[in-house]
Amino acid sequence: MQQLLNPFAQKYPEAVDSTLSSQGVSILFNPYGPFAGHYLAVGGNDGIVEIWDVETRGMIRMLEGHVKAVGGLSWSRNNRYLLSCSLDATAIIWDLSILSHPYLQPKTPATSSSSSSSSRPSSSSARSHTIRFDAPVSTAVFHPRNSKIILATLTCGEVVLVDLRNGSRHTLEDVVEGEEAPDDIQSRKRVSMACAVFSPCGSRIYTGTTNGMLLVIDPVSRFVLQRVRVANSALKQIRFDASGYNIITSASDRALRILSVDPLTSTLTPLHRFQDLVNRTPWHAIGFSGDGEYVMGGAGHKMAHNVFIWDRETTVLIKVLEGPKEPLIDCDWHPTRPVIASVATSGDVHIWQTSSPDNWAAFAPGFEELEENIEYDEREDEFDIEDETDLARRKNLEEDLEIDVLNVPTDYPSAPEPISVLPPAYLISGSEENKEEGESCIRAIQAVREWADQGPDDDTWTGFWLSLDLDEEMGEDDENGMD
Amino acid sequence: MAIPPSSPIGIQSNANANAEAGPSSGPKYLLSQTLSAHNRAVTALRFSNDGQTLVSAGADGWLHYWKPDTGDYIRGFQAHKTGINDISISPDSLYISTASDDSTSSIYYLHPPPAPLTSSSIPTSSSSPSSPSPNDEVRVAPLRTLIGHTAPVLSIAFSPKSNLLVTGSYDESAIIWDVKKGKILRNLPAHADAIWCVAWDNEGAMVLTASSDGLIRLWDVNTGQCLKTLDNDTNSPVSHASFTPSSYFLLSSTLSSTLRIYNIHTSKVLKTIQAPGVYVTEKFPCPALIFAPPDCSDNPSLSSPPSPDQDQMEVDQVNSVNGVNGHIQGQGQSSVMTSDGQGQGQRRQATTGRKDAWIIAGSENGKIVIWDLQSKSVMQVLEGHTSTVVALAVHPSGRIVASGSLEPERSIKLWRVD
Repeated sequence: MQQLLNPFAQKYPEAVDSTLSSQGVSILFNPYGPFAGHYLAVGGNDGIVEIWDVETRGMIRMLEGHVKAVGGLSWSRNNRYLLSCSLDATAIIWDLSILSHPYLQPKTPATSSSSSSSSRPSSSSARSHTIRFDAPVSTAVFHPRNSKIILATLTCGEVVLVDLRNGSRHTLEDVVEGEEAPDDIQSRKRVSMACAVFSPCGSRIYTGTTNGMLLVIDPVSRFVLQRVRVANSALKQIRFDASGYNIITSASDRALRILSVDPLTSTLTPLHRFQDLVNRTPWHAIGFSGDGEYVMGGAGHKMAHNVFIWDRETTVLIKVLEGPKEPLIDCDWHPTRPVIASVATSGDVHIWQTSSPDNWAAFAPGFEELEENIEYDEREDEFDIEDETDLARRKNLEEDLEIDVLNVPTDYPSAPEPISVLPPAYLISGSEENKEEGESCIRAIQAVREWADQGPDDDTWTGFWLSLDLDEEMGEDDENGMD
Repeated sequence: MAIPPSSPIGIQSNANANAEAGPSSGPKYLLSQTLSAHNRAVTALRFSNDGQTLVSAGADGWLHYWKPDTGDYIRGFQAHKTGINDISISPDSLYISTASDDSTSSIYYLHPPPAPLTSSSIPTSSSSPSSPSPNDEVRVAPLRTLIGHTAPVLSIAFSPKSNLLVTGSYDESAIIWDVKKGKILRNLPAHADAIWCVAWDNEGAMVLTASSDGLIRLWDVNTGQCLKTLDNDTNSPVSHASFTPSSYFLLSSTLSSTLRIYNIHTSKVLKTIQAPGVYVTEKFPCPALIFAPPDCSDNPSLSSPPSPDQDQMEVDQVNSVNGVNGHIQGQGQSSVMTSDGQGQGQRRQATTGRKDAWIIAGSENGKIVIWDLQSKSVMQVLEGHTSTVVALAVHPSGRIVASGSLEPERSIKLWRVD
């Protein structure tokens, strides 16, 4: 499919293609799997989580459970589970394989792989877990390898690692292994954490503090491995690109910073800094394009709805998407296509796309559009008349090759695997000391991986998709999104 | 090309109708049952992805449900007053859609839910499953009726995620439908003759339309743009086409008794497959399918005849048809589901990584021909039908082939690997 498309097509969106009428305050495309980017989860101001089908621009699931605005969303690795967190101090895990009607049981590998088959039919609700916290939850994310591990950021400045396999909860602290744990609370100076994410491979936790530090934490020991000053003001948001090699941060000093990450040692190197110097815009949402080549910033203008797009490598501002007048709250870039979704304060979700001109050459077999005239070189035997039996024999010979028709391609986006072997650079140039350090990092990463892979969830079917419930009453008023 | 000697047509004996076969190895399909229910031609057959239901559609407008394992009749209903040309079962085995001569398509539950049709309906006790009698006609109203074509709808296919349907019609257009809304999402009006066949690629990103005008077009579902057009050197009408699971290739069948495998990126024909005298399609669109041959050394639970476990599973099946779903959770259900489920083919491929693929096609002389795709040689010829075979389906496990024929025979035959 990808190879049939124009390889020189523009890689970032241009204009609003359609608008989904909703009450959103947060949005997220499903990032992985064969159907990556086919679904858009929208967290509502009214506590309702909606799932929209990006292809049809229609709402396909409505999940009711929260009573206050849903500010954070996370998809599990194969999209079966969705995590939503709300200002009502709860986080809910939704099992999207369950339809609201008990008699509608999709017969897919997702339902058959459920190890706990006894529990499945009884629960006709998609709501599979509710986790309560002491304070409103600003963001919550699944561990990339296991949806039973959750990292939640509370508005009171705490980051909590919840492990549903043993019911444990740990509030992350700024403590380095071996360092004397500060006795008096005063000296700990109440480091407040403002945001936290897992690295895409799940080996580390990256948290940003209110005083501008970026902490890298080992999820198992919960000790701080790295402590880097990124800014002098609070870090508001951290996001990785799909590969896990780049981080973008947004700080209250209204600057976006890109850092490169060594996935082995978690060494952070500041690369670039973006700022809107004219308007000093605060950023409400940040992110990378699916291929990591572009950086996106959703501007927090009071009177405009703008998304800034920079080239990551050259830091050139490429495009400012200008939308309707309502301010922007959140935005997300499609994992595979030049599509951006953004939410306005009205709750409407705008989908930004490129317009692709019709390719008329595609309608005629064997037709090719040329940029300029080319000299035609006739092959020596091009118009020779070939004996029919020879022709048949030659054709038969040509067709005597093995082709792989049954194996389903697996080139869809997926989370990177934790590093298990030392990168070649370490073996060639690295000193013995370096090598040892690298190996100890790998041991630590593998330990995290083992820890995460214990007690796996039921999200094992990589091709998961959401079945439709056609029995639901359909209002004629859901006719939006199409133009 | 080695062709088995043809034998007199019309042998009905179940045991030995297909004793002679090609120069082949591998499993052999034997005729196990002949089913009849339709008053007119059998036009389409589909196994559900969970492998537990076989549905047949006829020119009489009826849908009939069968058990693949036993060939037992489950039930049937008239879905259209006019003939049905094609059906498609959603990959999650929840819905079935029809393509009819009345220019519409309908979507039904594959298994109707227990009445009354409310979300609060609680499954009744499992001890009172009324056995489904063949005459127990279920009056079913379609969940959606898709109105948009101006001539008979010839082909229909659910997308891999069941959220879209594509239909191809005699009116020379194809339509992509939004299943949830039951409305047109995109119109693809670009052939100069009837569209005989439509199909999806594995990711649901592309559809193909195969037309009587001799062309196959590939479309980007997302934008509705034409991506590519493939022709054949004789300009014969294309009666059937489908993407292979790997999506890099497609299989086409033209009314010149020829099957071709194209590389969709280079538009090159990689394989030209024929069997002169044995495989004939000149007038009627006979279907052709690619599938992974059943592995005899596979998981024994697959190859064994119905075990007590599987009987248990069938009880389950009956129950859920009658609304007692989920109460008997036999051990068999989960094991059968995992081995027969949708991912089964992929899983089997993933473990062995083998490249064997077979092509099966129906013929106007009533024969069904199986080729090995790589060598292009005929592996087996299934003989039994006396009329053109226009309906064909392979069970997800690869162990059952269902075929249906035109009038006057209009019967369904089940062929099994023992």
